[in-house]
Amino acid sequence: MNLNNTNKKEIKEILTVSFCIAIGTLSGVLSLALFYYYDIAIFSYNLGLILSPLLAGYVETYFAKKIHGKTTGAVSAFILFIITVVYGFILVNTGLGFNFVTIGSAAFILQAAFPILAEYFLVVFIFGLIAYLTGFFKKILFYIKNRVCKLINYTSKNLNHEKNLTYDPHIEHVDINDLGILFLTTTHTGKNKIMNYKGIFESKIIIHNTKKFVTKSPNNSQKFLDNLKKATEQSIINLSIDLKENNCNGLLDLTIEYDTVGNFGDANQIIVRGTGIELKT
Amino acid sequence: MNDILLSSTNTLDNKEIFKYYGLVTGESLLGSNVYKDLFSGVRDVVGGRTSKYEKEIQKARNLAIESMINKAKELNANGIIGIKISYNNLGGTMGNTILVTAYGTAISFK
Repeated sequence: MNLNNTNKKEIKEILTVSFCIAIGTLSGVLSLALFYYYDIAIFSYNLGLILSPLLAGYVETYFAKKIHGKTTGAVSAFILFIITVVYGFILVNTGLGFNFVTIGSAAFILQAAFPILAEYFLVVFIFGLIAYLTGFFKKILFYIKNRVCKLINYTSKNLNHEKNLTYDPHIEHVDINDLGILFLTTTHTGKNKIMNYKGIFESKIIIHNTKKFVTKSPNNSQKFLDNLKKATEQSIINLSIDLKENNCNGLLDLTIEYDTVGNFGDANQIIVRGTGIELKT
Repeated sequence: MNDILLSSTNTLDNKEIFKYYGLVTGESLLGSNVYKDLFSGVRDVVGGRTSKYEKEIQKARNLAIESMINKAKELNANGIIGIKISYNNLGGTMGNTILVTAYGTAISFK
């Protein structure tokens, strides 16, 4: 007895849902026919291709809520999507071009048929991609961080080193051996007597990698090399300032390192380091 | 090869170094070529010698050393010691760019 009741209930539910989907689909098809009959179009693009799936989904949801008490998932919108694509793009084939209206309309159709997927794509993927490329969120977070640091008077050694992370690409050529520091790649100083060892000194410069233009033109390649040379010079200049502040007049065992850094290898890091010494003058 | 003594050592035995001029550097850039890189990769797999690529790197190395020597000559040095030569791949997502650097300490010795 109970089993029969359950079956009847299920059958009734299936019929109700089917009716809602059918009436939604019928409304959509009818509206599509009217749109084509009266040729309601913009730039040869029939508006029925966009509005019919939306109308089908709306009618189906309206009836489902009235009769069934809850939505049925706008299945008719998906059916209309298939019908409009098959009829509008394949059978009628208006010869639509690849333009803004077509792309926009196609996006609307997809949104009508797959609302959650389309919204996810728009909000998460497109917005996320734009935010990543423009550094929008990064800037906001950096701004918030600075504001918070200022509010709580936070300073650290890392923040004080920011001067080393930039360089002036327009700097004139400087004689690095005329900076008041004897730079040596060796660990010996010959007859020059070492009075004091002052520890390890390091200077770092980060420049943007213009690699993607390098292979296209020899001039760009030369420009990239010039930038690297200037950045190296600037790094040595920064190091010499640091050495002088620590009463050094020489640097032993100087090494220069070049590295690729950044998420996509979009920057190059130049590090100059060595042991600061005080030579007898 | 040239009239400047090149050495990777810290000192020169049996020679008297009487002046240190300081740092001399030389750089050259070897731009990548996607087809050449691909071809080189294929030949590496099959065990062949990538002679064209080797020649390019050799050329870049010589250019860097030559540039370093010229700077030492400008300082009237007759030797460079503590020479370091490095090959750095500066390529990002777009492929390889090899930077060859040569640097050392310019000196005068007897």
